[in-house]
Amino acid sequence: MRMKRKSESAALSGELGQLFLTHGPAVYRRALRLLCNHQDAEEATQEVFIRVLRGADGFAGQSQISTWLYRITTNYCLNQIRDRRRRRELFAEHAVDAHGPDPASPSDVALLRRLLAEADEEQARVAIYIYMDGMTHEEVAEVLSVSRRTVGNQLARFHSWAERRLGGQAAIPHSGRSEP
Amino acid sequence: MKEPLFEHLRKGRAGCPSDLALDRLIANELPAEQATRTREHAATCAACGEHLRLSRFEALPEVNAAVLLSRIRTRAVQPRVRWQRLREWLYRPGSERGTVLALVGAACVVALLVVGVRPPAGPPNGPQAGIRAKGGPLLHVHRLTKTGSQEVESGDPLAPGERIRFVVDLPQKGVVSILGIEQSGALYAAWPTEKRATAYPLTAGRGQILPGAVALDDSPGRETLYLILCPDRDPPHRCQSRGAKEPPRCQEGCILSPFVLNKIVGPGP
Repeated sequence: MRMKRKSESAALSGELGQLFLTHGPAVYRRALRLLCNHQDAEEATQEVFIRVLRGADGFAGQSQISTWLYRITTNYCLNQIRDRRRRRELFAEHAVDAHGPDPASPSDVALLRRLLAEADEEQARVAIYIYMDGMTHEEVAEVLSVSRRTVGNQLARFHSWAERRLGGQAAIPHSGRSEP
Repeated sequence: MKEPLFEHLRKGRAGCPSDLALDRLIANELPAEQATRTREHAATCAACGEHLRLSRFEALPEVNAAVLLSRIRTRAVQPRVRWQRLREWLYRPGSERGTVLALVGAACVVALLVVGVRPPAGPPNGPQAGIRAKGGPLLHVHRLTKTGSQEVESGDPLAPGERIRFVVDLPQKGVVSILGIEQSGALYAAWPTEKRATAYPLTAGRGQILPGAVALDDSPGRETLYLILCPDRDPPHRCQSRGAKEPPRCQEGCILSPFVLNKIVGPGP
């Protein structure tokens, strides 16, 4: 389903219900995986669709609506992760790692989330798409509107930084998936 | 220490389509051939089939979709305050943002060199005396929750009895206190709450947590808190109320930054 242009945003309010039913569960589940908290995931879902309705991200119909929603959701959740880390530092409280729906490897999800809170923002986005969403480099390039090479470079930088950050105690395999 | 294998973060085989591909399948966004391929794969893959099954709100009992949609509609029509629009714009992906920010940064540097940095210090007797100007002190309020804390915005609904903590951004060192003005116009000390202390010396900096939590009283209504930053060691308790709708009058040189508490009775926000 392609979105209308920004100039037709007034009509979006009538389509919001269908848009929400079609894409809302995916937005919510992604947010839940990233934020590990049902309340935060609901808040994230609200915020994403509010931004859709307001056209805050300047969607011009040049990509699929799913792509657009993935971008908004990732940006919002990544900011929350980074803000949450700051709040956790501020109040010296340890966030409860309440896991999302049946993750494959809970401790690795928590570790990745901690890395995302500290990593370079562009590299963090790539890491989310590759490791959390299982995208290929081609898909990530499409979502971020960059080249495949850029995706590869960003991922390699994230690897290098993460290995240094972890003190060389763990090797993080590169994920070089191509189209299935 | 176990080596983290991030490739295991998604259940399923290496040949599974991405979550994006599966979500596009649901939204009818895939080209026909890819859609067929993906559908056929999901029919034989437990993990992908489960992903498709959970892509309906009916399969997410913890989510009340109708309530969520209602909140979206309600909030979407609320006017955003300027800083919210600015924050959304700053976090929006786009190459033009970097250029604009660079130009703004350069302009700020020029302004600093030409004008210099001085705290706004208007006459305390004026109607807007000492009220925070751009770059002045800023009060952040955090609501304490069971699992941590959550920042609230000025005017956001809070329940009587909720516990809050204060975080401040200060452009300069000084002594800090927080005064509140009730709807009746009565002035009260919101922070610090210790009997002996009336103000708290702090250095310049962002994200400074003020120690101690404060519990809201049980009277509903709107009250305005004022972060008061004074440049000297004299405690700012000499502030005087000028009614519920005016900032208090404090001694010369103090800067005030308001924050509205909106205490409501009933189901929380």
